[in-house]
Amino acid sequence: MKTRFVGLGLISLLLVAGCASQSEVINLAVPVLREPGSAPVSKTPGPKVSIVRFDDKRANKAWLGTLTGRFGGEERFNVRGNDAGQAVANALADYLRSKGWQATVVSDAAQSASDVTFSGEILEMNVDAKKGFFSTDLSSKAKVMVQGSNRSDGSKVRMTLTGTGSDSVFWFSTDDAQVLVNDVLSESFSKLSSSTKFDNGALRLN
Amino acid sequence: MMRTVLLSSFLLVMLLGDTSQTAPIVEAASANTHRVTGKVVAINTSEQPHTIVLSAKSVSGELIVGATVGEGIAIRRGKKSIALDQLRVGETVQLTYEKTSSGLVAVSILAS
Repeated sequence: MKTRFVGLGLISLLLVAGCASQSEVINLAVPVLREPGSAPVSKTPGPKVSIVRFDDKRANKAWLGTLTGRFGGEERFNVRGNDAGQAVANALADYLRSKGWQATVVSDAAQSASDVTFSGEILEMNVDAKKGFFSTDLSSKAKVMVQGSNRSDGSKVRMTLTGTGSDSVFWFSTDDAQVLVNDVLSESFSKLSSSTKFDNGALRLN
Repeated sequence: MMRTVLLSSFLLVMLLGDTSQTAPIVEAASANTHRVTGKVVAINTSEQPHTIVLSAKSVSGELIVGATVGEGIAIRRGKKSIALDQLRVGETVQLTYEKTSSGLVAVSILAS
């Protein structure tokens, strides 16, 4: 009889623990935070561009994805600060700066004095992880519409950028999900720099 | 042998198809006037000012220009003058426009 009560107590404890873990949120840094001065610097100043906060058009804006435990418990991933639009704008600026562009995030496109002002929409952005017995499988996807408005002639260049990635790790840590999301965003943004060029201060498609 | 030739021809057609799709550009017609060729994606003649939006697509993306269309500007199909609402969505046109402080203003529209 006593054993039955102890068993029931343990099951209840596991259930409570399982439920409690559902409300936990794992915050991911997007873009990855760098030490001051560690960002690559180009010798020749590149194009001067501004980036405004992206519109978050995801069907589910509440979180980025889930970390599913071995026994079914779930934790949720989210962008630190819970502002995916600002995070993607910052990530794009970070990526373009790494390519030598003079990229600045601005709050208002009208105040921008840059050659090109980028805006856009987040259509998809997620990261999911599923813990197994000997590994944790991660997958991530990003789909972002980016629009560059040329100051010189008023034309707009619009592209839809996509990136996908997956990883499998033995010991899962939050950094694994964080790195994967940032890699997938960088892969998406790479199409922007590889498919465009600057001609007389205006962004053009290759 | 015949299958290889057919496959080669098919690949050649595919390659020719790819090379014919050049990146859309906006040409500078003068200091403040620009010219772009693209397909009409929208025309609005129900509100003032009337507007036209063109889009030129390439494999890597899309170039978009939207301009207001004032009364009396030259809109032609070939040598014939037409009204803005006679242009069709999907039709290829060449738009010459000016960038002003109030936005982009059409100077002329030529439909092929």
